[in-house]
Amino acid sequence: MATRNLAAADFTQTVLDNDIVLVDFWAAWCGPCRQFAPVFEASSEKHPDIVFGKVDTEAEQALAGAAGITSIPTLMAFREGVLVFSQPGALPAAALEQVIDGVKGLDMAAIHAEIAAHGAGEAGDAAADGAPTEAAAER
Amino acid sequence: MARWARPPRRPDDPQLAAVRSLVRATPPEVLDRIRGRAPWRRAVRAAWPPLTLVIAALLFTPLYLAFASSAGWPEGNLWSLLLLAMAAGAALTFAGYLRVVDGRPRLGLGGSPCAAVSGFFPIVGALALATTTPPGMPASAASGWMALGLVLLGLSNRVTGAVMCPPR
Repeated sequence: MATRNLAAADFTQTVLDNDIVLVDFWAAWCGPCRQFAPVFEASSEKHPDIVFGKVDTEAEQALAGAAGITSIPTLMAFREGVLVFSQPGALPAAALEQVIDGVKGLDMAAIHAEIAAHGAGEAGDAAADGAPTEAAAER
Repeated sequence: MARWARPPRRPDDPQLAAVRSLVRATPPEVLDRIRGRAPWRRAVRAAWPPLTLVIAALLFTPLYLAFASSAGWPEGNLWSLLLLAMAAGAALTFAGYLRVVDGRPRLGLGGSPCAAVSGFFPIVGALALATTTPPGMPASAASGWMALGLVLLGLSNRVTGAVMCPPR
């Protein structure tokens, strides 16, 4: 499967609708991004079961900002709608394969439980402080 | 004022708010499972593939001699360590300009101005060592530490800038 370009309009839906999604945040002017692009492309051909998305940070500045991108290229991996990997820096092919193997090997039931416990803990701490949660503050 | 009464926020684009909550929902411990406890190791491996390390090994001896002559051929264990560290740092910095793209070696300046000019730092370090060394005398240890600092500054710029860029 080839890579696909993602924008703010379809980013969340793509992540939620697919089991594993890798996202490369890049820009045309960035040398390491150009170095990483063929590695990412080759990996997309090798793993048709994974969605390989690319976000052009020049065209999608708001999306990059919302995703908290501070350096490019940044590779994010989502599984079952959960961010499970995020790291800036161009990866060599072997390291990208390691990341993919790591994502595929995750015990997602345990991760969902951990995230739920983490969310409950934060809510409990906030309640004890008398402060609203982040989600409540957003509202 | 109540502690929780934050200033009202500008209404956010719901699509961006969804992205924000997606990337913020994961606790750091979960991210560490794949990233590992020392993500810099991967950056180091990415910055110096095997071919780059071979070039660095070839550069090491001439750079050691260059730093030793700049320092007036000082003797002693401390100076041996300083010169080894300077030569190794400078060799890795210069070799870091060689990138392997699609299996072919290419010149890569890096992703930021700091990364592009990182090779100047070892040169400035050697020049600083030479200019602060009295004629016919070995350099002072302070000059050696200063030169090593410059070399390491260039190296750190190279290793981070070779694999990533700051966003515009």
